[in-house]
Formats: sequence, structure tokens, C-alpha cells
Amino acid sequence: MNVKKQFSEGLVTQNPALVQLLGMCPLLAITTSLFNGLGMGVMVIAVLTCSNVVISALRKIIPSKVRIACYIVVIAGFVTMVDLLIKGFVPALSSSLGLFIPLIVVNCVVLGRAEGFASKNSIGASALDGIFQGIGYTVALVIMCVIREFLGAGTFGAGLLNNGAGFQILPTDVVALGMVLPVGGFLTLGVVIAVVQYFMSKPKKNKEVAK
Amino acid sequence: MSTTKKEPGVAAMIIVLSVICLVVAALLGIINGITAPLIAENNEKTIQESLQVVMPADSYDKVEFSDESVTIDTGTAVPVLGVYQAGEEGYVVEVNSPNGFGGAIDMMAGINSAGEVTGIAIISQSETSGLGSKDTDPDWQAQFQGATDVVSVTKDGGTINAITGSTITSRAVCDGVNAARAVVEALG
Repeated sequence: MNVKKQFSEGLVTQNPALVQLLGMCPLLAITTSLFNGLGMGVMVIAVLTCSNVVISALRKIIPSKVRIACYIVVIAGFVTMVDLLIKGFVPALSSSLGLFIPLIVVNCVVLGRAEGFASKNSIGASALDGIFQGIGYTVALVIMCVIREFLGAGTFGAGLLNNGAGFQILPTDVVALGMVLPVGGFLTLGVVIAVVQYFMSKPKKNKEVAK
Repeated sequence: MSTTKKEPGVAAMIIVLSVICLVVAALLGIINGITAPLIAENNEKTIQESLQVVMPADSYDKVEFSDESVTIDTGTAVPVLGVYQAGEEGYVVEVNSPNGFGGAIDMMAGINSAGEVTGIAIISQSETSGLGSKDTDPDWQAQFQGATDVVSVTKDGGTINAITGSTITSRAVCDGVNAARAVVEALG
């Protein structure tokens, strides 16, 4: 088990959203305010970690031909549990994220890690993988949220800080509304991925030049 | 692995998948048993709080409304979810305005005995986060207060300033308010 390697993979080199390009649907759809991004991120961490642990524990029992069906049942079970618990105990979060909680079932980050990691590794490593990949996904969500919220609504931390109103940084008449619309999601994602790729490929190039 | 794993037979596949499904279903049943009363309580609390926002009163009496929906001027049939009488003040009507951007908007509107809108509240919705979901903003909702006639957005010649980028949501909320008025008028 290599905690350090898993950590850097989850956050940067194998970031589920920005490098593996998994879970694009919620990444584009809900990243309009910081509150949404953090809420979604925390739930993905919870579901991903739980499903990774269970799938890793069952990896020797599940026949490979029906593995995808088994994974989906486990994932859907956890998502429904999280959905019910949030509705029961944190109704504010549930009304804000609404539709996107059930959508975690089809979030390919969860299925991708189940198939790609948990089905081949020990329970402990899978749990760590769930946590780190989840944090990596959350970081990507938060980066998208901050950029889009700032350019699209001119605020920071709407729904979370300053009694839910957020801090108005740009005046409302200069903001580009398109940034909170889906088109802004695609633009932001493209730029963020490009920046990440640029910095990740930089050290390699330098080494090559040195040789 | 030195030896190749023997591929399990059809029976093993069926048994494993069935057992996993049964365990998951049982767990969900237990969790549902715990959270169902809490969720019902939360929903009831939301309705009571919204009633207080829409039309403050000491108590509300649920009124039987015979029709399941009302048809407003635009020809849209709006389902009526509940009608509450707030003493002598007037009525609060909960409707499910069907033409939101992300589906129906479950909302309330209070109409007092003078025919004025006293306030509106959104109970639940699936509008776009950050755009249509701003219909819960009290500042935006305030412009409905005091309306004595059918309301519509400025683009349609009315007086309601639509939420920026969310004319469809704004229209659906107007539909809801108009439906509430239609219900109150039908009650007399």
C-alpha cells in the first residue's frame, strides 16, 4: 500500500475529473456556487469510499460476468441511503442539490474506481483510494465553482458564507451570465484541464531538455 | 496467480447477484424505516413555515377543494395540492405549477379577502441551480405582494421582473400565483 502515491494520484496526476475525465455530468451541471460544489463533493467522497470498501471486500466472491450489475446495485444502494439520510437530517442540502444526489449512481467516478481499483486491491487501499479520489474530485468541483461563480454571478461563497448571500466581488452589471449556463461550464472545464495538463507536462519536458 | 481461476457457473452468478440485491434491499428498508418519519416531519414543517411566510396567522384550516386542477387564462391546467384558510384573512393555495424549466414547481400563494397577493413561497422545485433556483429569493418574491389582478412577466406585458436568464421559471411562478387566484375566486 503506497499512501503517498495514492494521494498524489487522486489529487493531481490521476485526478478523476481533470485527468481521467470521469463524472463530467455533475461537474458541468452543478458547479455554479461553492455550496453546491462542496455538498456534491462530500457526498461523492462518502459514496465512493463506502462502495470501494464493499466492492473490494466482495471482489473474490463476485463472478466477473455479472460484476458490473453487482457494482451498480451496491453503488445505487449507498446513494439511496445517502439520499434518504440527507432528506431526513439535512433537508436544506437536499433541496439545494435535489436531482443531483440520485445522479451519483451514474457518476462514472464511482463505477470507474470500482472497476479500475477496488476490484483488484485490498480493502484498506480501496478505502484510501475512495477518499483520495473523492477529494480530488471535490477539488476539481470547487475550482470550477469558484471560477464560474466569480465570472457568472460576481460572488464568492454563495449559499454558504455571509448568511448564504456570499460576498459580491464584481458588480452584477458586468458579470457574464453565460458562465453559470452550461456553455460556461464547458468553457471553464476546457481551460482548467488545459492549465492542469500544461503544468503536469512541464517537468517532463525540462528533464528531456536537460538530457 | 499461478493457476487460472475456475469460471463460476450460471448458478453461482445468479446466487451472488441475488444475495447482493437482497442485502442491499434489506438495508434500504431499514434506513427508509428510520428516515421516513423524519422526512414526513420535515415536509410538514416546510409547509407550516411556508404558510407563516405567505400569510401569517395563528392557525390554518385545510379546505376541501373539489377539483384536482384549475385552468388559468393561458390554458394551462395547474394541479391544486392543498387549500388552507387562514381565519378571516384569506386563503393560502398550494399548487404544482407544471411549466417550470426543470419540471413542475410546487409552490404556495396567499390571497387575502381583498384579493391581494400576500406572499408566495416555493416548496420544492428542480429549476437550474444558480439561475431558476433564484425564485426562492425573498427580494424577487416580494414583487408579487399586493398584486390584485392576473400577474405576468414584463416580457409578456406584465409587471413582474423576470429572474435574469430564467424567464421560463418566472412565468411558471406567475402561473402558480394566477392558479391560486383562480382557486380562491372559485371558492368565492
